[in-house]
Amino acid sequence: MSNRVSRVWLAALCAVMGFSLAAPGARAEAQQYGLDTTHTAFVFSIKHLGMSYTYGRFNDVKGEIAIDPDNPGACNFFFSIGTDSVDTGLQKRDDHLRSPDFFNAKQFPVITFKTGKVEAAENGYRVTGVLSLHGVAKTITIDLEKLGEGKDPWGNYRIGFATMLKIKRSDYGMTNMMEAVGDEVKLMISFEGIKQ
Amino acid sequence: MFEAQWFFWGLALPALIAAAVVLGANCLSRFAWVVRIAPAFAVALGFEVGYFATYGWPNLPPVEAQEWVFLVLRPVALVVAVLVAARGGAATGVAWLLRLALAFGAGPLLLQPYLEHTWTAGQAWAWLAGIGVVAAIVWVLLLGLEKRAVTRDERKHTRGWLLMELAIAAGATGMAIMLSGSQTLGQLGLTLAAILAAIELAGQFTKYDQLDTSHVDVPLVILVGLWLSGCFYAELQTWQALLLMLAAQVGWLVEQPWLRRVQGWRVVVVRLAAATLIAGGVVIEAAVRFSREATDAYY
Repeated sequence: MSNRVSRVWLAALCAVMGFSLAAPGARAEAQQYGLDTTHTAFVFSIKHLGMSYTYGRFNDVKGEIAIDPDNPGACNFFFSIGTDSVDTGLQKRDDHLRSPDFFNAKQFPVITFKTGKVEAAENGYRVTGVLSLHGVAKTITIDLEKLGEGKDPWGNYRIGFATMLKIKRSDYGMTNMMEAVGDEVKLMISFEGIKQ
Repeated sequence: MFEAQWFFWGLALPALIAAAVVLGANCLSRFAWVVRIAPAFAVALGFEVGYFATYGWPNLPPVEAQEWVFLVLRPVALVVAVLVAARGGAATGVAWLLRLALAFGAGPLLLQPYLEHTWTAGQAWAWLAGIGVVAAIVWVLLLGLEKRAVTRDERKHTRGWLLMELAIAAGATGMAIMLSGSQTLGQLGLTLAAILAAIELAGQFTKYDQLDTSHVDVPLVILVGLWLSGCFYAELQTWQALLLMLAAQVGWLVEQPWLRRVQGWRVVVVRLAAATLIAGGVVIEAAVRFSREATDAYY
């Protein structure tokens, strides 16, 4: 009887240990990449008076990338963008974009994207995650196109992606000056990671 | 850039509603406490309409600073106004406790991002205590001014003109915030100014309770919220906010010995002229700085 009880305990212990080791193992196998901010661009365009596009970018982007080619579910993409770093090439307009009328940079200093689910897609990954902007968090899906990977001339192993997506700023509570400044924002994103 | 319809929905309609509430309470109600409380409800209701016209439906729970003013500070101030109008011994004590809570609670509520991202614990305590003390002083002085003015028979022409001084301060706050880079936050100041001016003018045709101060709390808490938001989230300068606080308090001027000879309607003229001078100075400086920094129209 006691022998049987011991076996049950041993099985339970193995199951618990197996579970606890396997769960983080899936992510642990993914290769970590540091974001190369000098070759990363978060560019946006938005309509002005319905007549033309005004372009801008964010100069302060931080991120973490984890790639597991054999297990897309273990991949991870995290980005943190400083709203204070918005740059449209005109200081006064940038100041206004930082103000409570738009990004409200002092109240919401960062825009973040956190990965929820990653699936393999043609030439890259389909990433579903949470975009937090202006105090509002919404789930979005991004099709990341892998542009290339390999060793650079200095011996670092790099991987690079690009994507384009559209969001509505009104979905994130940014509803000011809708007549002059368009609602739809096009985002053009390209980034490189360096294997750690 | 204003959207044309905002002038109706965000400015004229809130003012009309506020005036209608005050006049309606006077005409229709037999109860003195309803008449007393009407201006506080008029401000709260008018601001509700103006807020929706400017920002739309707020987030629940509040996310941005102005949402905390709208959803938390304004209702608490309305409770204070009701307690003051009730005039019970305990009610007065509770009202003062709530005023203190508002004065010292506005900072922690509105400045959460600074608490999370910017300030050390020491800086946070210093800032929040300083803001609380200044807000409490402003509150006490304004209530003191209103009581002092209305308890002098010879100065009964000053009845209710405190709201016009607050309107001038609110209008200048709105203009200065707009000129310092945040249109929508500034619009709320203009909305408040229109409401207070409308209540003041409507109040000239109504019964007046000289001992009542319940009309002060709601507009003051909105103003404190705008000053804090303007300074910490837009580019309103601290000295501008302090001068605008002074503009609201300028009625104390006629209480000075060297101006005691001023009587009757001249008191009103001196008070409003002094408030306009100070508030106008802030707006003119902000306008000059704006035009100096502006290069081209960028929208």
